[in-house]
Amino acid sequence: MRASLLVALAITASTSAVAADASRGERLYEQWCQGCHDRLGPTRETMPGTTALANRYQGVRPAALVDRDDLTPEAIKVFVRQGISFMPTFRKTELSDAELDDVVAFLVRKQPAK
Amino acid sequence: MTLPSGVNESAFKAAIREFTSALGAEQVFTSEDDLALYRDVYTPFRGMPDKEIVASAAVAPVSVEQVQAVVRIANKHRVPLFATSTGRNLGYGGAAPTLSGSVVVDLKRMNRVIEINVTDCYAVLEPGVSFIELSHYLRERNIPLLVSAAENGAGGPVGNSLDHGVGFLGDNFARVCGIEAVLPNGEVIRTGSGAVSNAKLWPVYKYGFGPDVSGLFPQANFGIVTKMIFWLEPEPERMQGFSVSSSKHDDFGPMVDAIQMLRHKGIIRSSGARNPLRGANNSTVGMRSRNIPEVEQLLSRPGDGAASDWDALSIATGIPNSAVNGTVWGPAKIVEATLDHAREHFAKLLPHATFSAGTARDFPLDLTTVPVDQWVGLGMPNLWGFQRLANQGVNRGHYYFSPLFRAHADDIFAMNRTVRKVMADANEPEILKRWGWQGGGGPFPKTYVLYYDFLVYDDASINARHLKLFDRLVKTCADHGWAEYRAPAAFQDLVASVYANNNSALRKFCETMKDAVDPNGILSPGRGGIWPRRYRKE
Repeated sequence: MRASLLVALAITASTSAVAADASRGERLYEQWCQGCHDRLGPTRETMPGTTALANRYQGVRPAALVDRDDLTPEAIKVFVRQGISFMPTFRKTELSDAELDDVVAFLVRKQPAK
Repeated sequence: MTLPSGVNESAFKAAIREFTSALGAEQVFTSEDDLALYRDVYTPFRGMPDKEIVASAAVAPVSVEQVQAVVRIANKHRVPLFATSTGRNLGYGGAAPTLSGSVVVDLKRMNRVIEINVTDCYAVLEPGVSFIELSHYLRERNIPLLVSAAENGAGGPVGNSLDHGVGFLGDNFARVCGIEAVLPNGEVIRTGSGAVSNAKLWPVYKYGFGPDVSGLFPQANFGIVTKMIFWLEPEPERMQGFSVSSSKHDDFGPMVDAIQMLRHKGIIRSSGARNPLRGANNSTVGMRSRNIPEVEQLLSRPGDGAASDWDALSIATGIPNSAVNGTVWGPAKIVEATLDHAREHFAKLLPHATFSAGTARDFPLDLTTVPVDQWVGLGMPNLWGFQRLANQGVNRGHYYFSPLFRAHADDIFAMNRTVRKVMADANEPEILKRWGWQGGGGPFPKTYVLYYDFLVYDDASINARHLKLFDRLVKTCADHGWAEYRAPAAFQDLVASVYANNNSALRKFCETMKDAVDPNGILSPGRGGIWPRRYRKE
C-alpha cells in the first residue's frame, strides 16, 4: 500500500537520513529540484514550485524549500515519489533511493535537533 | 499488476526472471510503488482507473548490449515493451506505455554525452541525456554551442526529436543526422552514413545511400534508439527579436505574408503571428486573461465581428489587432542590418504599423542577469515552463491539442472559427473562454502550430468531457485539412486515423512493415497508431 500523504505529513523527522550526504544532496537538489523550487529574486519573479507554494501558504511558511525548517524526510519522499498537484513523480532511474536520502539530508539540515 | 494482453502469468514471470538475470535486480522494477512511477502523471484519464494506461514492469538497461538482451527476452516470451528516453514527455504521455501491461524500457540511465564536436557542431548522445544535462555539460566546459532545447528542459534531444518535438531552434528531428537503434530482432542498425563500416561521415551527412530509414523511428515502433547524432548550433554573437503591430484588423494578412517571406528567404530564424486584441481574453498555456467584455461580444457575433468594429475597439483599448514577430541572430552587425531591413520592409508595406526591436542579448550570456522566463528562447533550457501550470490554479497537469495549419491569415481565422464552434457546440464555455482566439507560432518553417493545453483535474467527469471534446476537435479539424503533428498516447490512434488518404494506405503500409520487422509484435505496440498484427483490431 502506498503511503498516504496525510500520514506522511504527520510524521516527524526521522533519523533515516543520518547516513546520507547533505553536500551531495545539495548538488542533487540543484539538479532536480531547484529548477522549480528556487528562491524568487530579480531574475526569478516566478518559479513554478515556489509560486505554487507561495499561493498555498500565503506567507505562513516560506515558499522556497531551502528556507523551510519544518520538512520531514517522509513528506519529502512522498512528494518526490507520488507527486503533488502538477509536480510530477521522479523515477528511481532519475533519483535513486540513496540519492533521495541525500536530498532529504540537505533539505532537513535546518531542522532543530530532536 | 496489469499483465500484458496475450501473455500468461508464467511467461511473464519467466521474462521478469530473465530480465533480472541479464540486468541485475536493481534494474528491474515490479513493485506497485515502483510501477506507479511509470504512470503518465498528467494522464487524460485521471480518475478513470479502468482506462488509464499502466505498465506491468520496467527495466533500466545501461548499455546497448543490455537493450539487446531485453529485446531478445521479450521476443522469447512475446512480452510487449515500451521504450522511453528521459520519460519526461509530459503533456504527451510521460513515461507511460501506449499499451497497458507493456514493460517499460527506461533508458534514463543511458545518459552519456559520448562526443561533442565543436568543429562540426554536433553531439553524439545516449537517449537518457536531458536538455538541461547537455546544456550544463557544454557550459561547464566553456563549449560555445547551443542545444535546441524544448520548453521542458528535463526532456532530451533524443526523446524530443523522436516525437517530432520542437526546440527554440525549431524542428528537432531536422537536426538528427543519424540513429543507432536496436531492432525488434535484437540486431543493431545505424542509419544514414553510419551504415558505412568506417562511419567517418555519420555525423555530417544524413542520407548515406539508399533509403534513409531514420524517419522510421520517430512516432513509431521499429526500434529502440540507443544513440543519436544531434546537430548543435554555434553560439551567436547576438540574438534579438522584433515585433510589428498595428491597430488595423485588415493588416493581419499582409503582415503574416511579409513575416513568412522573411523566413522563407532565410533572413529571420523564427516567426509567429497573433491578433492581440482578439486574443486578449485567452488564458491558455499560462496566459492571463484581460477580461475585456467587448472582445467576447465581438467574437460571439456571426462572422466574429466586422473589421471596423475591431479597429474601433483597438483604438479604444490601445491593444493592437494585428501583430507578427521574428527572431534574428548572428554577428551583431548582421543582426543590426537585418533589423534595419525588416524595419524598412514593414514601413514600406504598412507605414502606420509600429516596429519594435526587442532586447539585444549578447553571448556568452550572463545568466545572472537574464530573467528565467527568457532562458529557453536563448538556448538555455530550464524548467520555468511549468510556471504555466502554476498560473492556472489547482490542476494535475495538462495535455496538448496541437494542430498544424497554414501560415496564412485566412487559415488562422478559419481555424479559430472552427475550433470555437466545436467548443460552443459542446457547451464548454470555460474551454471556449480559455481558448479565446489563438495565433500561431512557427517552429516549423512553413506552417504554424498552436498548443491548447487541456488541464487535468481530480474530477473525472470533467476529464471525461475533455476527452470527448478532444475527439471532436481532432475530427472536425481533419475535415478542414488540419491535423495534429503530435499527440499524447491516449489519442495516437485517433490522430493517426485522420491520416487516412486512399483508404488508409499509409497506416496499412506501416502495419505491413511492422509485421515484417517485428513479427512477435513486442516493440511499443500502438505507438504512433501502429499496431502489430497480434494487437490489431482488423
